[in-house]
Amino acid sequence: MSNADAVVLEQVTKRFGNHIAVDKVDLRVKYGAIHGFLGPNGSGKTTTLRLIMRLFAPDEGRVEVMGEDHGGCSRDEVGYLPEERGLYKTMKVGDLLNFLARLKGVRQPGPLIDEWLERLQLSEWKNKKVEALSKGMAQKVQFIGAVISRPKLALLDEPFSGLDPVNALVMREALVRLREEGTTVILSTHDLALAEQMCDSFFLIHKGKNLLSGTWAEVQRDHGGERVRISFVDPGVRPMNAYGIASAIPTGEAWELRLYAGETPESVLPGLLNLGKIRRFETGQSSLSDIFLRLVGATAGASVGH
Amino acid sequence: MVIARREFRAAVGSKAFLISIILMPVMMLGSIGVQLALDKFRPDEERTLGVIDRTPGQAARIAETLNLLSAESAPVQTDPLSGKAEKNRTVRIKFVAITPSAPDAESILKQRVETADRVRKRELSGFFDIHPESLTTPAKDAPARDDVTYYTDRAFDRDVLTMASGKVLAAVYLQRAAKINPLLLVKGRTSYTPEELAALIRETSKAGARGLAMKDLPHMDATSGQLVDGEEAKIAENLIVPLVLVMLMFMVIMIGASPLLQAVIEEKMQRIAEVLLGSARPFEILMGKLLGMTAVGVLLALVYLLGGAFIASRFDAGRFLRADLVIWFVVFETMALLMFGSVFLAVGSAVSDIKQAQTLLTPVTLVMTIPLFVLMRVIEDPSSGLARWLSLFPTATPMMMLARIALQPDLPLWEPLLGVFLMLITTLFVVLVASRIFRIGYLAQGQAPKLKDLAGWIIRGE
Repeated sequence: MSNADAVVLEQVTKRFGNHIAVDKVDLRVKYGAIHGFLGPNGSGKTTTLRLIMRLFAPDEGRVEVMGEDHGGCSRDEVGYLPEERGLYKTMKVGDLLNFLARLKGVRQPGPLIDEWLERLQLSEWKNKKVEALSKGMAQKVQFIGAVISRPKLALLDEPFSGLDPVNALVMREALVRLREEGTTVILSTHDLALAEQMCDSFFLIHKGKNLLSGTWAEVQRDHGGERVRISFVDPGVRPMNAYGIASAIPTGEAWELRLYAGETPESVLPGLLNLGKIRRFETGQSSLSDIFLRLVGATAGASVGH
Repeated sequence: MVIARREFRAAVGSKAFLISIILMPVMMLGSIGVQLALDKFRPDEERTLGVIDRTPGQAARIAETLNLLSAESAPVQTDPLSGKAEKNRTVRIKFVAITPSAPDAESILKQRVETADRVRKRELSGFFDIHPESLTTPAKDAPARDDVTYYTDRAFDRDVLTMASGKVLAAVYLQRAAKINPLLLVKGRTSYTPEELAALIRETSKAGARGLAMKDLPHMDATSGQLVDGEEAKIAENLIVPLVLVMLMFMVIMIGASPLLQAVIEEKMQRIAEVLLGSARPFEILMGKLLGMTAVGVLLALVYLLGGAFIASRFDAGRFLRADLVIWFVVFETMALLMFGSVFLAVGSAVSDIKQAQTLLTPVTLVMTIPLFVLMRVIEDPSSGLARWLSLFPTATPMMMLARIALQPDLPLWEPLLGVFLMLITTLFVVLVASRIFRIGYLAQGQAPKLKDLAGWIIRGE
């Protein structure tokens, strides 16, 4: 048992019939961190979160949550926001949060409810029924329900999905504040840019297998690389066959280029110059999105180099 | 029309619809079949009825007459459907003469109480007490009297009512007729004119005398120690009270337990289930719902019971609802709600919509309604073997035992306590099984599990 880790998964496997949803996954999440769970749809993120939440038992391996395995950790200490949103539609917001708080063992939830509603700009909706809320507002209410008891660990499955940029920012500030108050946060998201900015460490799962894990520095060290972004004066230029270019992904008017191992921006520039007049040429480190796509595979619209 | 076509096809093409087509007539025929089978397979029985003939100078004569008429149902009758002859149930009525006591009121009452104790001990099924003046047509202004009084604790015993009572009355009236016009009973005479019979009947049944009066058993008052004669057999107590209580219990179970099914399905559909599972264990959620629903059911029952008692008291009928009946009702209602409520929760957690639930619910509903099919049989004879066994069968105990307690105030305490104990064990087992199904089904989506899947959930917990 590791005292530094809020969550430990060791060789955890979970099957549903013939389908292996989680395949020998190892994971460690440190206390007090915001940990990002990344992965394409159907990769096993939600199943992993449910295993941590003890909604399922693993078929193999060990799950330890805050030092307790075999489900010993109290549900009152873990806040859970499931992927699918579900609230009692005919309840008033205040009554619903009161119910969820009491389920978590909070005895006098009134002040906490008011505090959180104000924090997430929902105070005027306290006496309205849930069915009157928009999707984003309902999501914020459900988030409050998950964290109102000041849990030591918060498991948030896609907390930003469906939120407009303003509400996403509000949610982000709430998560940062949670961390400052001592809550360990594990959140799954498709918003890689946001994850890159917010998370202290990452875990990427694909087809049930762990592809990467670690801090940003460790991920960059193990999976990152040079990134070239180029745009040509002639929009018809295609750079994928240029020297040293492993793949080229169009992004608006520009191209994201991945280089072959051993190549550098300087070594591939001459070849690119031969294709046409360059309007813009940027170099930098791979983003999380770059790494994600590289490891998981290009999505539709990407071109594949030789 | 597009929507109508879709709805029609979706409903008719569903497995639930096909199963309902078959199951509904099976259930209806089954209920009739249960009744017929209960009638057909009732064992041959003997009823021993005491006869206290108080008519002066007639000691043992009427009883002797009745003994010669030992009644049997027809041993063979023809089945109207098949035309085949088949043996019918035999009921032998045996009359036992009881020497009448001294004619003073105290001795008469004492004898009735003692004979009533023999009925309670099941030595007799009941007894007839023939009024000393029953052979005399009452005078015009004479006070009303009962010619024959039948004392019993089984007011709806059809066998006695149909086979014995008429013979007793006939034995009394023919003796009276002989006194009025002895020539009518001349040996060898083969017929009577309508006028003669009409005059005879008019004389024998003058106003002021009733034929057969039915009363409940005399007893000694536990508080005062005084002997109390039986009162008119209470149709209300003997029929309406048990009927109403049983129907009320059934109604409260259906009102209280079945919404659990809908609520669980809705929580699954609206994904509230996972939110709750984030805060409580499946067993805690199941017990919370069960206890909440049970409280609602008990409150509902108390409202109806106490409201009914209040209204009844306004009409001087409050005594029909005894305090112990209310207590037993609450006890059995609570356990029935826990037992059947957990089944509904388990079914709701195993399916994703109401249509899927119908297949699983049909046998549950059948089990719940079986007591209603046999209720009248239990009311007829609450201490019969059938009534006793059914009242100890856990799924039928709430309704059957309650009916027996309503009909038999002096039912030995060990019987309802045993019923409660057996129900408790069964309820714990059902809740345990339901919690295993609930734990897995509550989070599951998609197709309804097959029965073997459910068995796997129960046995392996996965």
